[in-house]
Amino acid sequence: MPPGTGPIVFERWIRGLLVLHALGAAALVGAATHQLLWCRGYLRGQYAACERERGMARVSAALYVLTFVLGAALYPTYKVRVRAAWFDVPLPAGDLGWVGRLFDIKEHWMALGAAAALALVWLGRSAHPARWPASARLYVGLSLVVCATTWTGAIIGLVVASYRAVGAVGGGP
Amino acid sequence: MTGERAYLVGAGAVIGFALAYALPIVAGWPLAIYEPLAHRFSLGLPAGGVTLGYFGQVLWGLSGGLIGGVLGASVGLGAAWRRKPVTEGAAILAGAWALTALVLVGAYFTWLNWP
Repeated sequence: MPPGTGPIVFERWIRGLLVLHALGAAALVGAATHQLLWCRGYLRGQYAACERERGMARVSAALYVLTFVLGAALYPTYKVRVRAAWFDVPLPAGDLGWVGRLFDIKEHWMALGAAAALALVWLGRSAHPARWPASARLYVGLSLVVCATTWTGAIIGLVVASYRAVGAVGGGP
Repeated sequence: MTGERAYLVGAGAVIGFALAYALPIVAGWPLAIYEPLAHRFSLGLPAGGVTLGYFGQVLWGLSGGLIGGVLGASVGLGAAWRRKPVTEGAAILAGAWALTALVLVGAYFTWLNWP
């Protein structure tokens, strides 16, 4: 079966999934940024925002997993309808292969960021810097990774979608 | 679970996830491949065309995270058994390895896919 034909899993709900993915990503960027800002004092032994920061780390991890799962549901359709049909083929208007490779960079950083977000929740439960200060560097470092990957993912996602998004009218060039 | 043991579990899991996530690509080891047009999973190496190796790669990472977490717990239990608490220097080293593993693997895939 050539690329661009036949049914793909979740394609029927692709626009709704894309909207939910975008909303989840926007909320995640906000949550991860707040969490990073609230924990930056840990490196100086300041834990004034400890309780709300731990709560925000949990919110951030939940949003990360939700957005990641929604993105995974979109991925097969993206791979067939966008990547194979537009980015991996030579187009008269120019080569868009670099957009597809940019997306690959995003997906790898997002997987690593998801691991960091879950590790933050784990550390927050039993080895939070407020209880065990030796964990402060790792805790703040993981927070930085989570925040940086969410911003990177959101920006690259917007750039890729500006060239071609799932659910676009028409099956190929 | 004590703070130091939980910390070692967390650091070990992060290191394990990052390294195992990169392993099938670096070493050319098989992983679960999804074929969206055929609606089926198979085991193999990522090929060109319309196949998805990403889910299999994440599975590799999760398995590595589990193994790394268990190894971290073992180190923590070993330290408790010998009645030698984990020093702050060792904790910093474990944390540095965890962050380095994440950045190193992310940089590798950035380099591999650089537009």
